[in-house]
Parts: sequence; C-alpha cells; structure tokens
Amino acid sequence: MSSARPATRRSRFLALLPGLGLFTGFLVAWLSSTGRERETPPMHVGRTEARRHPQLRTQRRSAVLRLRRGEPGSGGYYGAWAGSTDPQIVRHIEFQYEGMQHQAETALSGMWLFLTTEVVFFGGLFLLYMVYRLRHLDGIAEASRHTELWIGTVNTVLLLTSSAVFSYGVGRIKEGDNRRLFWASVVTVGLGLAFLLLKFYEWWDDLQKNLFPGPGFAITGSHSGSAQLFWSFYFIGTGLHAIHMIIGIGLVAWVAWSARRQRYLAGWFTPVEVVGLYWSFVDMVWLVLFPTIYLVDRVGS
Amino acid sequence: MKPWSVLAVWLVLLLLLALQFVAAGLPILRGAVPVIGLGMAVLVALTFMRLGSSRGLTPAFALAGVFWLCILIGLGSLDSFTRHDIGISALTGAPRIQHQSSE
Repeated sequence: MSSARPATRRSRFLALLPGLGLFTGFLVAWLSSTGRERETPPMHVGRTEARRHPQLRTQRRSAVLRLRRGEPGSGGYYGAWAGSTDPQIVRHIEFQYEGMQHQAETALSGMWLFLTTEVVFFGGLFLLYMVYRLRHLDGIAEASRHTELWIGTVNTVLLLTSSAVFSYGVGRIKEGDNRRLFWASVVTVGLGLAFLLLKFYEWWDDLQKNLFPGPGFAITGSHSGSAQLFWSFYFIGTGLHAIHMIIGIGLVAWVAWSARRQRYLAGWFTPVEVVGLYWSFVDMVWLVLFPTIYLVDRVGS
Repeated sequence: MKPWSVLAVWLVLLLLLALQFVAAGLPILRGAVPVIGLGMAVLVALTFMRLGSSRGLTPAFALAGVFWLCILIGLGSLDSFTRHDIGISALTGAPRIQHQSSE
C-alpha cells in the first residue's frame, strides 16, 4: 500500500498535464486575440466582423479605399509603404509585410518550402524503386525495355522547352511586358497539353499491350513478378507526375489570363515567379523519372 | 533571365539529354545516365528557378530539401544495400532448397 501512494499521486499529476496544456493554450490564444483586437487597424477588420458592426464596416471601407488610392499613412500600420511609392504596387502589398521585396521573398521562400515537401514526396517513390531494382535487377531491366522510348524523349524535350519559355516570360514581366508574358504562358500551356496528350496515348498503348500489372500481364516467365513491380512504379510515378502537370497547366493558364488583363507590373509579378517555380519543379521531377524509367536499362538491349 | 541566357541553358539541357543517350548506349557509362539526369535537374533549379541568384530563406529551404532527400534515401536504402542473404545450407550444411520464383 505504501508503494501505491506515490504512484497514484504521479498518475494524478500526469492526468492533470493535458488539462494544464489545454488551459495554457487557451490562455495564450485569448491573450493574443485580445491584443490583436486592440491593435488591428481598420483596414484589417475581417469581412465577417465588418458585416456585423456597421461602424467597423464604414471604417474598413474608407481605409481600403485610401489604401487603394495609395495615400500615405492610410493604414500602413506595419510599414507597408516602405520601399515603394507607386500606388499600383502598394495596393498589392499585404498588411503584414514591410514592403514588396519582403512580401516577394516570403512568397518565394514559402514556395520553396512547399517544393521541399514535394522533393521528399517523390523521394519516397524513388527510394522504393531503388530498393526493388537492386533486388530484381534483370526483371526490371527487361520490363523497362518495353517502354516507348521515343514518347519519353519527345516529352522530355517538350518539358525542357516549356520551362525555358516560361522562364523567358518571367524575365519579360520584370520589364512590365504583359504581352510577351501572355504569349510565353500560352506556348507553355500548349507544350504542357502536348506532353499530356502523348502521355495519355502512351498509357493507352501500354494498356493495349497488357502491360498493366495484374492478371493477363504481357511479360511472362521468371521475370513476370519483377516486371509487374516495374510497371506499378511506372504507372504510379507517371500518374503522379501527370497530376502535377494538370495542376501546373491550370496555374500557367491563370497567369496567361491575368497577363491578358495587364494585371502584372514591373514592380509586382510575384504570382508569376511562384507559378514558374512550380512549373520548373514538375520539369525537374520528369528529368529524374525519364532516365530511371526509359533509359538506364536500355544498355545491352 | 535574359533571352539569350534562357536559350543557352535550353541548348545545354538538350546537349545533356543527347549525352544521356550516348551514356545509355555504352555499358561502361551506364551509371552516368541518372547522374546526368540529376545534373540537368540541378541546372534547371539554378537557372530557370533562379536558385543561383536567390537569397534569404530560399537557399536554406532548397538545401533542406536536398538534406532530407539524402536522409530519406540514405537511411531507407541502408538495409537493402548492406544486407547479405546467407542460405541456411551454408550454416548447417543441409542441402539447398531451390525456390521457384527466385531471381
């Protein structure tokens, strides 16, 4: 009994810990929210709050109007005016940034952080392939020779070209040339669609040749199991890449649409740069997929 | 990027692609094929993605991506690359059993 008492005390204390954590969390959240309420300038009043309180709505509307006109001191609570006097640029600076440069660097860093997660995402796939390839070298090499090399090569050229063209467009919008950015984006979308069409044709062709893993698989014999592993990797890898391509095409089309409306400025083109990063990343993934799937095991074929 | 530098990088990438085909045709250069692919990816990151001229947190995040990729692939493949399959027959002297689906 005597030994049970400290254990009970300890367990009670441990049971209190989550409650203590929750209480501290609520306390911090309450303190920070009350602080924000006091310090928030009118232009940062949320739309919901503004809808509920007419007084806030009027304040918010006038502050946003003055902000859009680029009037100095019209709500630049966090120093949003620093580094730029052009009202057209200033209206794109969100309240939490010191200026356009700060905002652009944050956006680009954020995109790179996202791409880092993508690197690890695709890295897991390549790790799986490496391990299986080591264990089933001959079977995977044989399966790889059933891929359509010419389609893979043409697709590689298409992607490299699209990345170069969009990069050219980013360079032109730095000079404020929306027209050239528009055409660069249109060409990029066209090249991306051509890539996808070829990829869809290739998948259709693979299915016709019974290369989808499962019953009736085309490659028989002792290497059949390893070949099915390769074709599983092939369909998953190219499928995930194609999903990224579709998202990328949508984003580049949005850039084209915005450039058509002369939305971007020489001093503000962060969305174009961010979309360019994504598009080139999709290109990078393909540059690793292509030799892995199509080329590396052609030796001796 | 200036138009001529975009063009130059694009031509270098096409050249590297052609080099991949040459390497794929020669058994001695077999290992160079994925390495050239990685080189092309790095070139795209440095030029088209402007990593070479970036500053602030951007290079740190990019390096973090490379670091975690190395950790993932290094630790993940450690077992496969270092394990040796020792047959029971080698330890006990018993006759070896032939597996039907072994490769």
